[in-house]
Order: sequence, then structure tokens, then C-alpha cells
Amino acid sequence: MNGSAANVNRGQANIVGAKRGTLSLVIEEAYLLMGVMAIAFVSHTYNMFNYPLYLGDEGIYMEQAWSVLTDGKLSPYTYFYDHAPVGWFLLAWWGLLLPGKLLAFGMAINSGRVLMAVLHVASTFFLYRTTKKLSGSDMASVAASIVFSLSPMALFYQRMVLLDNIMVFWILLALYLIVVHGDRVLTLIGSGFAFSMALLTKENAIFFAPVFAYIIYSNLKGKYQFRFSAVGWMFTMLAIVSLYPIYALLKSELLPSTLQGLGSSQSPGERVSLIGTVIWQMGRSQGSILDPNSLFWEFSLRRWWPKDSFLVAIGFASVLVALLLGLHERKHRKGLLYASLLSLAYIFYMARGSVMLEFYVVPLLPFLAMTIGMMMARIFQLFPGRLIQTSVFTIALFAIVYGSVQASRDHYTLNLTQVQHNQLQYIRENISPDAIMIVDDDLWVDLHDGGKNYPSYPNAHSHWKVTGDPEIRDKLLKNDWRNVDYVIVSNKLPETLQINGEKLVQDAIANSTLMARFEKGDVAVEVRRVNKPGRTPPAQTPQRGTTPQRNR
Amino acid sequence: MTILILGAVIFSILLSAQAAYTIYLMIYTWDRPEAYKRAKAPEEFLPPRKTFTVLLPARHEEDVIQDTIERVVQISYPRELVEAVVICEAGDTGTIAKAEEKIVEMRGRGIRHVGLVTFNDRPINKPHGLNKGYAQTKNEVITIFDSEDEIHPDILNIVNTVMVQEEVNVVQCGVQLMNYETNWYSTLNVLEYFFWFKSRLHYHAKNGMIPLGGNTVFFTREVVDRLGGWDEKNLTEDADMGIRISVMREKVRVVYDDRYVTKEETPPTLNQFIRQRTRWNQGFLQTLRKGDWLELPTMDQKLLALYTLAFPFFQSLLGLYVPVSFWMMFNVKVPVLSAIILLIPMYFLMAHYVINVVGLYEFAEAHGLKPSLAMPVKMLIAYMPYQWALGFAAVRATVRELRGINNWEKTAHVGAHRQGSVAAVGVNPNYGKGS
Repeated sequence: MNGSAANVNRGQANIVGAKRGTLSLVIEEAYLLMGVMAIAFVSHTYNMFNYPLYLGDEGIYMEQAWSVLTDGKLSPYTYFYDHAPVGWFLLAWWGLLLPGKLLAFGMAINSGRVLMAVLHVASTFFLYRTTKKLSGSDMASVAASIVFSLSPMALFYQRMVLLDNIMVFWILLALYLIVVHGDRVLTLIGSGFAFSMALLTKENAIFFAPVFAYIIYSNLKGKYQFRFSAVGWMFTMLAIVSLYPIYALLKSELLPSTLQGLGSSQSPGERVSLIGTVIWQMGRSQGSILDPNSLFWEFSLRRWWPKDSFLVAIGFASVLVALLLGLHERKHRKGLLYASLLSLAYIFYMARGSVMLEFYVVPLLPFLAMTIGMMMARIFQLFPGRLIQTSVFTIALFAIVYGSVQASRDHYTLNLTQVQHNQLQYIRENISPDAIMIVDDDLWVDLHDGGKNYPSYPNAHSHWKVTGDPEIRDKLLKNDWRNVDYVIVSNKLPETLQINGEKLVQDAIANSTLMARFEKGDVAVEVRRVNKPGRTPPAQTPQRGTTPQRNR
Repeated sequence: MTILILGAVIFSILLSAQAAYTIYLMIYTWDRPEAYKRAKAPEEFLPPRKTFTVLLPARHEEDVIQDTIERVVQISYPRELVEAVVICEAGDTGTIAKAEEKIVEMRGRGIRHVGLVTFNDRPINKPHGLNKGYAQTKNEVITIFDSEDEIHPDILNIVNTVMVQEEVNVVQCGVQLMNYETNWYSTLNVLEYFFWFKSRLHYHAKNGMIPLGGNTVFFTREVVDRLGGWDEKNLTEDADMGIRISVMREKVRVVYDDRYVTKEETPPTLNQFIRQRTRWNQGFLQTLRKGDWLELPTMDQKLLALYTLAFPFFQSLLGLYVPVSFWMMFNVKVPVLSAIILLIPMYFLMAHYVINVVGLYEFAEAHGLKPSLAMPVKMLIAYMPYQWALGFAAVRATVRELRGINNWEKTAHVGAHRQGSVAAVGVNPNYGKGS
């Protein structure tokens, strides 16, 4: 489009030629874009209801979305500001659109996974266009989108219903609006809105904020609309984020109930509060990058490396090279610098040593992919001639595609969630709806909401809440495992219980008999009945003040 | 109580929507830089072709009228293509004497294109004066300058170029208050002008519904003839003129170029500021009641006209909303979601303040000024009182309009009206027959 404007003085023929050139480029890009979006869609949807295993965390977000839809509450249990709720608002809104609500695709988590696939396709669009705009290269944008969609590690986590995936969608949207449509104030305001959604979905998006500020500054400085755009972004972002503490204030849950709550690293007490939770979170550390036993190294070496050594090795190497190259050429080309800074901002978050789960790597993945794509394009541009460049690039891309698909065969073929389907089926057929059950969150919504055909189990409670929520632990169970009828477990659960010291649940399991067990590979799930040799009377003075353990 | 809360929630949503729209109009040219670029003054001027009539309506301006005349004379455009007339009511002997003195003095210097028109019939107001002056002149393009205006010497070259090049018949050039540091309300007042002329008017022009300003506006004689002149019953004859021009589907070109704006000052006292604002608001309400805007071609234009002319109502509502919502926050038990919705207009109010601060720096940059660091703080302190002053003027205008008081308040200070003979001095034999 700019090309045709620049050619105005060169006569009519040139204008037409330039327009045609631009048009064919637009069409070419449209084909590429549709191609990578199709790959993104197929890779993320094919077999997605079967693999990976339904994770407890996915269940938690689904149950909170369910609670929004059915009760108009932020959580079926006491909401204690562990996360801002916009992520599951989106899930709830999605459920509202679906004809069968959250059960539209079978088990509840499935409907969440469909949304994740939709968001991923949208995220791929944003990533493609942003990378293209920053690098000017189709190679870079195609490679980035392919790595983002096919990398085994990305595929594994991005299929799951995780707040991180929703946050990535908002972050990429915010970035896209700045980079691709930054010439208008309204788009910057839109970007600020998207960034606030990211923050209110998962607060660690805050680590991207300094880089975003830098990108806005360096992209718009000196332009006519700079002041209004920058201030518009910032104001919108802060204004919307501020609604969260205002919500807490209106509920009288902003400040901790006691002054001891401030400044102590103790868990939030009986009365929940936003500030209390934030302070408690900041006090939790599991070792920084300097500590060889920290989770950063644990996950890097034991979980991420085996899943996807290509992405980890090439990704981190690209980030370092891109940073050096980007700093060197920052005057005239910003792409590499932006991509590497965005990656580094999040690596910094992970490396500084807070509580971490293995899927916390998710927000880093699009930016690793972007950096890899840009670096690949830079390397292949060193080859002489467009034909050779394209050929070499295509071969390399096919190698990546082939390697990725090979490495993620399980994703496309294995049916792991079958065990959870069977487990659910067994409960529905063998356990009465009024039974008191301890469950992991993966089955929670399906147990509480049987739809038209199945009963609901109002007394099926998450083991986290059995341990941490006084409403369940003290009032319902009287702090006594003997008041539990059934425990629904997976073979991964005992380790979690051990780490978090969930004594009541452990006791219940220890005093239970196996009713059913479903296995596949190294996954096994069980239904157990608690043995009750003559119930003891309920505890007179329930112990109070223990920790709600699930907090991510 | 539920109904009260529900009403408040709906009201708050509507108020937020209108605030968002107002804010958008303020930042329109920054959002659409191409609109602003289009609205810039031409970089090169065409040779003078159009002839201009400069109308200088004056009332009790004896202190400044001579300077005003001098400034018009200093305009860099061939004098043979310009005629200028000072227009006074016959009883305003002070101004008339000063104007005559100046005209005589200029004749001594060989300058003969300035004259004086007086009138002694009613009503004594600006539109009537304009009609009188208009009838006594002959040049192709009519423009109006107020006595306190500081006009850019190239203004006629710009309009000549624009009119010839773009074949438009109506041009509105930028007017800008400059004294942003004089008193507590001047900063916000200056910025109101800044946003109005630099941004909002472009939006109006693009959408074919534009309330014109009172000076530095240019019409061809043919357009004024078709309109039948200025509405003498209207307190804002300028805005009314704009609506009627829009109804005729006449294209209006807005030129706002920081370099060429006509410079003015805020009213010196709060009292006068409120009077001026009352008059504008009431004029808008009159124009609204007159209903010409209903003949605008499209529904969008009608709505924009309705919104613009009824704005004084909205303004007073927003001014009243703040205390009421604060009261509700502490005295009414409101569900959390409703409480958050009730808060949203406050966010827009904050946004409005922030945009004003950004506007201050834009304004300062455009005119090579350096605002002090304390300025945003001063603006913050002045912000609500300023809104209340505007709200008060809006309420006052509404009351006056409902009670049928529609005199120009400026005349309230005037001494006994004198039915005198016409004082006429002029080069053009037609001048001075003002009755």
C-alpha cells in the first residue's frame, strides 16, 4: 500500500503494477496465514479429548466457570483471591454460547479444551501477523507459527484448560494491536484493555509490562499521536485492573483481618483478603535459578527438556543471540530485540524463584517461537538467491514439522482420558448421589452437574478444599476422615498429598478399600470406599487456621 | 430501593456511554491523524483572487477597537481586495469615536478600505449587527473577527488558497484561547478550545453537521444570501449558522493549524465566564428548539446535532452525578456489581482529566510553551469546581430559556439606550447608512 503511494509520480502504469504486486503479496500472505492457522487448528484439536490426561487444574477452572454460570459466584467454595477471575469468566461466557452449556462436548473439561483450541488459532493469527510486521519476513512468521503450534511441549500444555493459555491469547492480542495497528489511539486503548484482561486472567502477565512499555515507547516515539496512545494504553490498563481491588474493597476483603496478616509469610487466615493473599504469595519461594535444587532446574531438566529438547535448546540459544543482534541493530530494526526481551522478561519471572508448576512455561512459548522464527529467517537469508533461500527454509521447516509430529505421537494417537471416563461412569453406576466424596478436581463439574441423564453429587468435594476450606473441613467433615464415604484418586495424587501435608485425605485413603481401578500405561485411577468401623462422634473443637494449599 | 438502584445503574451506563463518546471526540484527530493532516493549512499560497469583507462587530470596545482595526489593516493581502467595516450600535459613542478617529488617521496614511457602520434599531446584538454590516458591503467572501481577536496576517491567503483550490464556500479556521496560566479556570478553558477546534470540529465537518464558531469563519456571499443572513433571535448565531449550512449540505472546510490560529483570551472573571457560557448554552438550546436540525439529511447527523445542542443538559447531569454517587456509595447498601457500575462514570471523569493533562502538553508543544510541573496538580484541584461552574451555567441557561429570558447578557450592563443619528465615516459611499 505504501509502495503504491510512493509510486504516484512515476506514471499510471507503475501505479497499477505496484497495486498488483501488493495485491499478490496480500493474497500470498493470506494463503500462508490460512495454512498455519489450519495447522494450528488440526494439531490442537485432533485427539484433544483423549490426550493429555485431564489435569486437576483444568477441573478447577471449569468448576469456577460452572459456579459463575449456575450460582453467579466466583467459586463454588470460598473465593480467596488466588487468581483474578477473568479467565473463568471467559470460560463461563463460552459455556453460555454452547447449546449444552459446559457439557456440550461430553466431559466438562472438553468444552474448555475446545475454547483453548479456538484461542490458540486466534493466538497463532496474532503471532503470525506480529512476527511478519516486526521482521518483514514470511519465513520468520511461518516458522514461528509452526513451532508455536507443533512443538510437543507447546502442544501438551496448550491443549489444557489453563489460565496461562487464556493469558497468552490476551498478551498476543495486546502486542498485535501495538505492533500491527499502532497508528491509531483507539487500537492502543484496545491493547491496554487486552493487557488488563491478561493481568486479570493471570497476574504474572505483569512481567511483560516493562517490555510492553518499552515497545510502545520505541514504536511510537516522535509520532503525532504518541502521547495520547501511550497514556491511553496505560490509563485503560490501570483503570480496568483497578476494578479488582475495588471489588475486594466493596466486599470488605481488601485488607487482612489482622495486622499480623500483613508482613507475615503465613497463609491467609480464616478471613480472606486480596492483600493478604498477595503478601502470602510473594513470601512463597521455591528457590531461584541460583539454587540447583530449585523448581526452575527441576522442571527445565526433568520435564521440559525430555518433552521438547529442540524448543528448549534452540529457543534459549536464539534468545541470547537475538538479544545481542537486536541490541546491535536496534536503531533501524526492532524485531529481534522485542522478541528476545519478551522471552527474557518471562524467563526472569521463572528464574527468580517463586512457586512454580510445570505448565508455567506456557507464556514463554510464543515468544520463544517468535525468536526462533526470526533467527531462522535471518540465517536462511544469508544464502544467495531467493530460490535457494526458500528451498533451504522449506527443507528445514519440514524437518521441524516431521520431528515435532514424531515426538508428539502420543498427542495424536493415545487415549488417556478413557480411564477418567471409566472412573466417572463407575461412580455414576455404583455410588449414591448423597455420598460424601473426596475427589480430584478433574471430575468435579461432571459429578456436580450430571446434565439430563445423570444424578448430581453435591457432596463431592475437592481434596484441596477438604484440606483448606473450613466450610468443608470443619463444618461438613468435622475434621474427621470417618465422615468421608468415598475417595476418588489417581496414582499421582498421593505425592501431591504428601507434599502438601493433606493429612485428612491421606487418612481417608489409608482406611479405604479399593472398589475399582482403571489403568492405561503409567496412569491409574481408582475409586475407594472408606472403611468406617463404628463412627466416632464429631470433634468438639475443630482445629482452625490451616492452609488452603492449592494456590497457583 | 431496588428501583432506585436499578435507575442509578441505568443512568450510570448511559452517562458512561456519553462520556466515552465525548472523550472520543476530543481525541478524534489524534486517533485519525489523516483527518488532521487534511485539515492543515496549505503550505504554499495561491495568488490572491477572492475579495474579502471583514465584519468587525464591536460593542463597548473603545479600549481595543483601534488595535483591532490596525491588525486588520496589517493583514498581508492586497488592500484593494479587502473591505472592512466596524459595526456599532449608534448609542455606543465611545467605540464609534475611537473607530472614527482611527479611520481618519488611516486615511492620512492613504489607507481607505476601512469603514464604519452603525445601526439604531433593535435588537442590539451581534447577529443584527452582522446583518447590518453585511447589507452594506459587497465583497465575495465574508468573515467576522471579534475585537479582542489576534488574527494571523496570512489568514486571508490561507482562505483564498483553500477556497480556490478546493472549491469550498465555507471555511472555519482555528480559534485558540492562549492565556492558560492566568487564573484557576483558564487552563481548562484554554484546553476546551484546543480540543474543540483541533479535534472535535474535524469530526463534525467530516460528518456534515457542524456548529460553526463566532469568528474567523468565512462564507461566500452566495451562501449567506441563501441562508438569509444571521438569526437575530439566536444567542449563538454562529452555531445556528453552522446547522443551517449543514442542512443545505454545504461542505465546510475546517482549517486548524497551530501556526495560524486566531488568538483570544478567556473571560477575565468567573462571573463573565459563567455569563458567556450561559449565553452559549442557551443559544444551543434555542437552536435545538428551533428544530432546523431536524431537516439534516441523515439520522446520524440528526443525532449528532441533538447530542451537540443538548450537551449542556448532559454536562449539568455529570456535574450532579458525582456528589450523588458519592452519597450512594456510603449511604445505600448496593450489590457489588451494581456498585462497580455506579463507579464507571468516575473513571471516565478521570480519563477526561488525564486527557486534558495530555492536551496541555500538546498545546504547549504546538505553541512553544513550557507549562510548569505544578500545572497538572493545579488542573486537578480546579477540575471539579470547573465542572460545577459549567454545570451551573448549563442549569442557568436552561432556566433562562424556559422563562423566556433571551437577551444578550452583555447588554444588561449598558447604560440608557440612545436613539441617535447615524455616525458615519467611510470611504465607500455605501458605508454608514446603517439603519
